[in-house]
Amino acid sequence: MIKLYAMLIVIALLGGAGYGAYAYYKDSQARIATLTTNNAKLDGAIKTSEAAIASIQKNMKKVNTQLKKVSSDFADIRNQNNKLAEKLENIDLGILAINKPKIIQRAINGGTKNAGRCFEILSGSPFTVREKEAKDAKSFNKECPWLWPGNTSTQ
Amino acid sequence: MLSHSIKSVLGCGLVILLLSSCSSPVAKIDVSSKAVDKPVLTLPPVDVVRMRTVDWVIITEENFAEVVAKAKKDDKTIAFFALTDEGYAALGLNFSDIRALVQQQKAIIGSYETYYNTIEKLEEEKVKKDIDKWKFF
Repeated sequence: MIKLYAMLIVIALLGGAGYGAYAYYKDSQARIATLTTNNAKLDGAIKTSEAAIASIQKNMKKVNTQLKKVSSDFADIRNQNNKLAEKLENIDLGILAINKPKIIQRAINGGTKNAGRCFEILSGSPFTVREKEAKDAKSFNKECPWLWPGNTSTQ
Repeated sequence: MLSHSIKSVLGCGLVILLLSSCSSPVAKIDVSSKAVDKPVLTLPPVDVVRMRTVDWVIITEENFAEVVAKAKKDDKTIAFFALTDEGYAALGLNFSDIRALVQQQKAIIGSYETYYNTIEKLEEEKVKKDIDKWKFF
């Protein structure tokens, strides 16, 4: 009977030791697997972050390009807008109208028509035959020569 | 007695071993997320403006009678909506300011368009490159 108990104790001890070793092995393997997965995830996260940073930097460049372009466009538009003010500053419209009413009347009617046409073009109106055949910006439209398609200058 | 006890222990051990084999490992669930593109915003173009004809008439002390007579002859109402030279210049400048505003708005819209279109193109190219990379496998 004592032999049986001794054997059972030995078996239990051996079994416990074996189970312990097995559990330790299993736990170690699980830890290694978790750490490997974590490492891969971290690696992926780093790559994703790097890609995100690169993308943001690229987009920031584009933002700056567009900002510069719009600022430059605005400066050109302001210059164009000042042209009429400069023109009007250099002439006395009242005196001219008294001296040459018919010529000035024709000029301001032409100017008004051209100015209206500028709005039409800006809204997407197709060019007229005369506008298509225009050889230069002035013959295209005196009020908004910068809208001439062949224009390289913005003034 | 001894052999019976050993048999019982071994038998129980065998049963436990067999039962433990019935347990299946829990399946691992993989969750992946994929960004869905926003629908493309397509807007109609603005209405094309058609400007009405405006005829200015210059009236001075000298031509006043002549202008009135011509208006009567053309069967027009003799009522003129007048502007001084300064008023006319101010009107012209106001129009010029509005035109500049339209141009600035167009520049802003164009810039937005360019910016977002190039980003979309870049993303499309990136997706294409990724697909090409995976084709290798």
